[in-house]
Amino acid sequence: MTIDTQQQAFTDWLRAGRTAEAAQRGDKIYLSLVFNNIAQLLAGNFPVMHSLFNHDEWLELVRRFVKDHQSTTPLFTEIGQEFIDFLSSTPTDEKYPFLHQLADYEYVESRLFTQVDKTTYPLETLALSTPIQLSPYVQLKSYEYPVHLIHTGNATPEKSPTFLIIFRDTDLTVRFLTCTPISYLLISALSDKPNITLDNLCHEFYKTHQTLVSSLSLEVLTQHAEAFFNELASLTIIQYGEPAS
Amino acid sequence: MTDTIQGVGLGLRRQLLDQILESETSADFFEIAPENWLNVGGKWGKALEDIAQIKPIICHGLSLSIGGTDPLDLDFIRNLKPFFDRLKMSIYSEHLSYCAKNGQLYELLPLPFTEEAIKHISERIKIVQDILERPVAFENSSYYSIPEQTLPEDIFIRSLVEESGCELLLDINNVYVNSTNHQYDAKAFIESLASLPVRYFHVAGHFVENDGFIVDTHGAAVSNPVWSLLSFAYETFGALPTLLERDFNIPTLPEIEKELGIIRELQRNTQ
Repeated sequence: MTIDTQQQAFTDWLRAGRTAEAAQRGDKIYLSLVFNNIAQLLAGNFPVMHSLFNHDEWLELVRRFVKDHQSTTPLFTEIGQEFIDFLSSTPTDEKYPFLHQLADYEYVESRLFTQVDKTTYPLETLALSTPIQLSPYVQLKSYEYPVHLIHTGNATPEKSPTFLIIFRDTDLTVRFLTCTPISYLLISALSDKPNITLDNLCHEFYKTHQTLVSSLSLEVLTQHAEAFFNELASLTIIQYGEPAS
Repeated sequence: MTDTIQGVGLGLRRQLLDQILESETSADFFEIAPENWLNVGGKWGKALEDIAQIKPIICHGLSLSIGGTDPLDLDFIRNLKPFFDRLKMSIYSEHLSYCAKNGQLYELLPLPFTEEAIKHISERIKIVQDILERPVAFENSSYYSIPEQTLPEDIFIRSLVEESGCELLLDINNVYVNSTNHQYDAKAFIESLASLPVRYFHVAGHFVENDGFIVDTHGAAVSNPVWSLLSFAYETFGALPTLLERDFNIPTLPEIEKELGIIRELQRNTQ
């Protein structure tokens, strides 16, 4: 047997995960090492999801991941993305229909926590004519379920449109801010157009979202936006635009 | 410029970060898995930078899959180089094992001890060393089954080191675990490797099952037979830098300090 066919046969056997099958003592040790290690890695990446499952449910999910998904990343900090890719190819979980979205939320949080440091341009005073952009430590996420409220005491949430600004604070902890759909659209517009002034952002937003903001005047929209963006600036969610080089 | 290491090292676990930064540890150097720290900023990245200011850090990888038949992950290997340079790491060590076939399994799987494997692995080692522009130290892994064996393990390792130009990280606990599980003489094994470029040693704890079979858990204190074997290795190779690995059931720093103290004592007795 060549080294390649041997490794193919052994890893096929490991991935199949048939624990009851007669096997050599040593091979059985590898089977439990592989599953326990990956189960532990995933539990560390998705602590809320892990806490919702009972032991057997969790092991079953890990078994399916090992069997059906080809993970390519060598990095343990990125195994969460592999798990999300695996989940996206599975049907909606009957017991936990929000599972894909909860996994996404937990992974976004962990990525922000470990994200490589970048240059920032902290905003001191927000003026309508100041070019602004999102901080590099911000993710805008909308979900059908209130994923940020899920825990073992709230494991069956109803659908409820949820708009989150998830960000890494200057103390290096990750926090979130919930916002209204219109605020979410406004900050998403900034995300699409970095280095725009608040004044221009409001003008463009008013034009492109006519039906949505028809009850407001441009002045009122701008006032709301200014108050909202001042709050975001105090949380370091927005910053000065890129300085001209 | 890289920081060379000497003395007694400790495997750096995230659970220990705060304790290490807050209190004085006697460890002379630390070791990390690049797979946990590459491309990591924020709180952890800062802690690592802070520790690197105080003591040398070396890298001990897990996902390279040097013995595997999936293509080497060249992007990953290329990304290691600036990481080593930035943190001035003088050593990159890895395992004589494989962990990927049609994707990662993230576990150190056993290699066949054959001529074919020596040829296959040494070619891959040369590629990695060429990219990194440094020798890599490979560890004698613990193994619980042997896919195929036409050579004794010591001959396999010797041929591989000579063929590839790599260095050796001699894991004393693994020598003990493997020699017990697969019934060979641990001291004869160590003596057989005496001519090789051993860069440093590892020691760790293990778990003995009811029937005497041993699993290399890194979850307990180092056992007495492993301390004796370390002493023997010092007599053979000199008191090379030695690192304590503790990955599970991690005790407090003072408990760990006791074991670091034993290593230091054994090193002193050798000199």
